[in-house]
Amino acid sequence: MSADDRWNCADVRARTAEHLDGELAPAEARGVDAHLAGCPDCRAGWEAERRLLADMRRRVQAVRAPEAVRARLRAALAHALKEEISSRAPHDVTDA
Amino acid sequence: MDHPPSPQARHAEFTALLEPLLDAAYRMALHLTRQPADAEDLLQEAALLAFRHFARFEPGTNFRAWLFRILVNRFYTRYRRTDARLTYDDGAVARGASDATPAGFFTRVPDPSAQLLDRLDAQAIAAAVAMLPREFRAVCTLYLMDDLSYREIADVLDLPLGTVRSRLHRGRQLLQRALRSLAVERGLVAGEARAVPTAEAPSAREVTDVR
Repeated sequence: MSADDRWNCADVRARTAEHLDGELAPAEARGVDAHLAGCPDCRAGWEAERRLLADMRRRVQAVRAPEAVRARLRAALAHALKEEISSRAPHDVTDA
Repeated sequence: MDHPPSPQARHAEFTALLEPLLDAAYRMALHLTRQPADAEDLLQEAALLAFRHFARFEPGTNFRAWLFRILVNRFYTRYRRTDARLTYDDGAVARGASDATPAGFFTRVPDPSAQLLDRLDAQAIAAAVAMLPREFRAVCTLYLMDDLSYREIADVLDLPLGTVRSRLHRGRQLLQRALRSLAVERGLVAGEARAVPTAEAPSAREVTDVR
């Protein structure tokens, strides 16, 4: 029995998400891949999970910072820069 | 002899690094706070804080992780009192989601999972993420919204890698349940079937952060 044979369906399903994320150790990934290659049920589950994760990411990553938010942030940073410059300006010698 | 950069040069360098990250930072803030107005405040506070401490940023290191860490820390500082009455136990998470528990978003969903997701729009998914308890929300948000690796998520949240793994494992299950609840609530799927037949997930009111 090879090391890959130790992976059963329950083990593979428990690791599907981490495998999709590329977070399994190389030996684990090889074991999962070997099981997927010979198990149509797990392979179908893996494919479905992959598509769903990609779809979910595509949808949530479509959210963008509104232009008004960007504009106010740029203004706040410009204001912070102004404050910094004025705080660094040499003091008027007549104040001494 | 090298002179420190002028404030104008530092500002230009900072904004050049910040601009490409604004969408991701806004998404992060929105999913943490759940409210657009709060998200804008949080984003602005974090950006100003980062600008003021930009001298501490080491050029060549991960600016995104650095900025997000400031944003998340600011969120925890600002909102800690809101949920202070609640408790959270990573051990309970680990007990509730063993290695044998399927960790995918849609594993064992009674109805075909693609159909469930097809019936929910981006806002519904965002709402489901927003329903997650705070510590799961942070991990899942970084995971979904910005494709960060587990290591990067651990760095941003200043958590051990194992904690990120366990929270993601459980977070996926909670998200699955939240999505299904939303779908049932909206009459998109029948309500009698269970989303996760394994260990009970704690409700959002039972769980929060102890960082």
